[in-house]
Amino acid sequence: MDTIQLLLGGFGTALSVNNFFAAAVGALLGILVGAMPGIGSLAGVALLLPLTFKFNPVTGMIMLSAVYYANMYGGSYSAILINIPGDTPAVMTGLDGHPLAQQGKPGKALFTSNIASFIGGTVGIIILTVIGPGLARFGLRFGPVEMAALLLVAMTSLGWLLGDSPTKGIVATLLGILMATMGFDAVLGTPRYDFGSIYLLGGVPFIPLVIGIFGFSQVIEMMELRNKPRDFDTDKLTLRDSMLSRDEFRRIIPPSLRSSLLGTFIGVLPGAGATTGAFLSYMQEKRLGRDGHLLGTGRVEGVAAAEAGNNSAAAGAFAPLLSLGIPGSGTGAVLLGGLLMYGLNPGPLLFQNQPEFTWGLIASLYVANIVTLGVAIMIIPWLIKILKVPVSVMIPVITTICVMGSYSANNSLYGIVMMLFFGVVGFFMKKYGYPIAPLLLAFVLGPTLEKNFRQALQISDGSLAIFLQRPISAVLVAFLLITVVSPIVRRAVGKNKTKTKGESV
Amino acid sequence: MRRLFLATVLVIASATLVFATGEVEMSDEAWMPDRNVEWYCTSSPGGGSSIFTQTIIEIIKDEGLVDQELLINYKTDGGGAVGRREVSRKSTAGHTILTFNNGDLQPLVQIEGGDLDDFTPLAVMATDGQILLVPADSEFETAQDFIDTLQGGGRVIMGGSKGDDINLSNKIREEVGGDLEYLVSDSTGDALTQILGGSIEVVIAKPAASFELVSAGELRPLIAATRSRFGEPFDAPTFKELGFDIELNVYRGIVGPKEMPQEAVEFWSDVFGRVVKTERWQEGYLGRFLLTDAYLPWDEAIEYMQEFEDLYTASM
Amino acid sequence: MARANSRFVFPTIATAIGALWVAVGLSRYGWISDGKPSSGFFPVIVGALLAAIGIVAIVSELKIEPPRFFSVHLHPLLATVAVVVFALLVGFFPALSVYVFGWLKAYEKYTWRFSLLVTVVTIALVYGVFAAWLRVPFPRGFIMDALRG
Repeated sequence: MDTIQLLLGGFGTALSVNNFFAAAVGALLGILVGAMPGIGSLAGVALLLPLTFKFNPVTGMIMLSAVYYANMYGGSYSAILINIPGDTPAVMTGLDGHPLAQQGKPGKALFTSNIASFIGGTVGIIILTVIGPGLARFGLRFGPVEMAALLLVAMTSLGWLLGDSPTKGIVATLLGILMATMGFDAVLGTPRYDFGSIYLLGGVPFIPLVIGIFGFSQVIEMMELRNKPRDFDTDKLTLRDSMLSRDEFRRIIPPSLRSSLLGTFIGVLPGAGATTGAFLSYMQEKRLGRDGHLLGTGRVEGVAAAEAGNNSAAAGAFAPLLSLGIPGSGTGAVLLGGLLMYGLNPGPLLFQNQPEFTWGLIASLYVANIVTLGVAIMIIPWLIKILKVPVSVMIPVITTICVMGSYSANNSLYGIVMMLFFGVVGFFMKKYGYPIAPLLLAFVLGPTLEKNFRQALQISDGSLAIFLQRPISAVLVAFLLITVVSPIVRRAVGKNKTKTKGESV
Repeated sequence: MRRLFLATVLVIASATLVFATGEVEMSDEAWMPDRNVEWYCTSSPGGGSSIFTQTIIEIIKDEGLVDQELLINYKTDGGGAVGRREVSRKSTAGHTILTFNNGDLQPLVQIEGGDLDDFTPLAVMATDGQILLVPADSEFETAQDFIDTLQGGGRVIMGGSKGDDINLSNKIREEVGGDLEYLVSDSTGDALTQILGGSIEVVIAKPAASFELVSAGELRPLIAATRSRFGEPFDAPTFKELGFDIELNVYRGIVGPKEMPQEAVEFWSDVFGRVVKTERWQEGYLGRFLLTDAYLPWDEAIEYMQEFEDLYTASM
Repeated sequence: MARANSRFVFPTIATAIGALWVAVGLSRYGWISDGKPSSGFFPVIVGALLAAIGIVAIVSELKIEPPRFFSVHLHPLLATVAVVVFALLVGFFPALSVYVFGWLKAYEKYTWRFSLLVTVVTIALVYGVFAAWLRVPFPRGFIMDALRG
């Protein structure tokens, strides 16, 4: 087959000592930056871009893709080890990853995260290779109407499925949505809920929010336990104990594959990204997995689902970028800028006009993925040692990183102020048992839902019937009614019967 | 151990002293930056403004036009309002500059209550133009079909990005009439996704962002909102040709703080004048991203930007 | 009742925020204009839901024992505020170095050697990533600015 031949040719270009070295350096830098809360892959890739122009194009792209992948690895490392996600998709990884670390099994969580990321990335790239352009075309059919329906399905499950108490989960979700409404109305372009402050005009700054509500709140909480020994034997933190058993391997393969397929598809959709991919994959596992109800208590399946979903979505996002020239995410936009600078013009004619470079690029995605996995696994022994560091030492170190990261987000003190504020908010939320993950996910997804919903009504000139007239959204709305509304009804009915039991905690 | 600590303190202290006093004294010749220059960009890395800024900085470095380092400071708080306010108040004797397009001028005038007097224009570097595109199989076969539909009171769903694209859609609604529904996207890329997926019928785009799709025949040009027609593959009648007074230019420029010494203004204006003469700028930037060369030195840039300010003030 | 249950505070604030969003949304940003949702539409719906659920949360929360807070919880917050003020005077890296070292040595009573080691590694790491690589322009502090003019 022609494709295979071109791909092999691409490997011929991609496989060289130089490229391997570039990928390894990119992977290390990417993990480092990814693990630092506050610097997402966007900044990492954007800042490396000028540097890579000094290399030849294939080497440059290999390094950039390695940074991009490694960023997501790094993001989940900090989520697992210290419960501070380095980026938003890692929020989902932390839900099971951090409990695993607390049980003294950080190595297993890291290992699962690496393997699942690799599976996700690989499946994503294979799908991209085989049916990328076709998939990108299908993704286009998700206009505002379909996206609004999809996001409605996603958002309604947020509060119900995360955390112990549905009421508290919903409060957190709704708060997250409201926080995101501050700043500019994305549909009309007018300011709202800025309360006359030029700082609030830009909305709640995202990075300081994440660093504060996860990171600094953690520091405050640590004060209480800082002189207590860990719950587990720190001598057990060896590479040997980090390896997955055969049984565990068997447990993570099905969720990884399921999530990879779903994630790739989500990644292709316009406006969805790695966060949505990780989140929906986790939800899928919660519903379809054999032990779905145990997710959130420290299950390798949860880590696997989130990581595979997140990495495959990142790979899927390349499909519209390469075949239509439309970046699916901020990072995609930077990569597009990079491709343009190299003289490559992503678009419908890319595969015809510049086949060698394009297949070289896809081959370099494979190479970058494999090298990143190698680097990531090799540093696990050092990473798990982090848990041997006493909590009392972690406190000033994490605080320093929080201060630096939140300042760097917009180069302003305002970032630090917001970080501290959300640190306190996050601390109280944890103390009172309000889950933080739904708040953050709602903050990310809320504006997209609002925008698509309102645009859908703009298209239909105000008629809600449009959601039932379009086939894809009609299916989604039906799904919503079955899965979300029916449990509410059942719960309401069930509650009457078992009222004496009170609230389950 | 105490000795080790003392040694470290001493090293840090002496290093501080060296840094503090090791400055080069000023020569009495023409003004030159004598320390790092901070270049503010109020959009995120990766966007059009950041590519613009990075390109200029790289050309300056390659050509050796400025001896000092130029550092980009991305300051996106408050939709750019915070960065703009900060720059306008700086008194750093020519060591602070700001990327300033009409996408920045408009919110400054209409939302933040500021105006050009808060800044010192240094140069206008290039202009960009907008064009309406439709899918290859659109029912609007000619520009006239589109005009007729709107004037006959028909409903057309149009999309595009923020800022200037919203202005253009308002202008079309005013001048042509009809039931024009405008869907705002965060970027031209998102709007192009919507038109390829069939959610909208017409899209406002800039040639750079849509070049590949138009070359491949997925989209075709309908009407240009510029003074004269674009070249191939964007050749389509302008609104002016069709008898409507719709023409919007989008400029990319650079300003400094309000209090900038005149020597510094002239220095920067001259540096940018040399940047636009390089092949890298002409081919690698303007050529690749299909912008029009429109360099104006500081004195002409003031007048040019003032026209835009008047326009924005008038449309409030 | 032995003491007031602090659990009502959080849901009460949430309810108030919801109500505020509804009020501001309806009065300033509009509900529906021209048959289509306006700026206030979505925030008003979400705000109303939050206010309603918030009240449910207040009622159900009061049945549960409140968590306990300790004065140590305040320490990192106060320390960070102090460090940031200090950083504005002397610059970020000196201030943070003093903070990390001081916290370990004086507050946690670690040895000189250990405290210094952790400080050097931490500062080198953040300096390398944020200042050297990402080129974040950190303020040098008023004192440095004054010295250098």
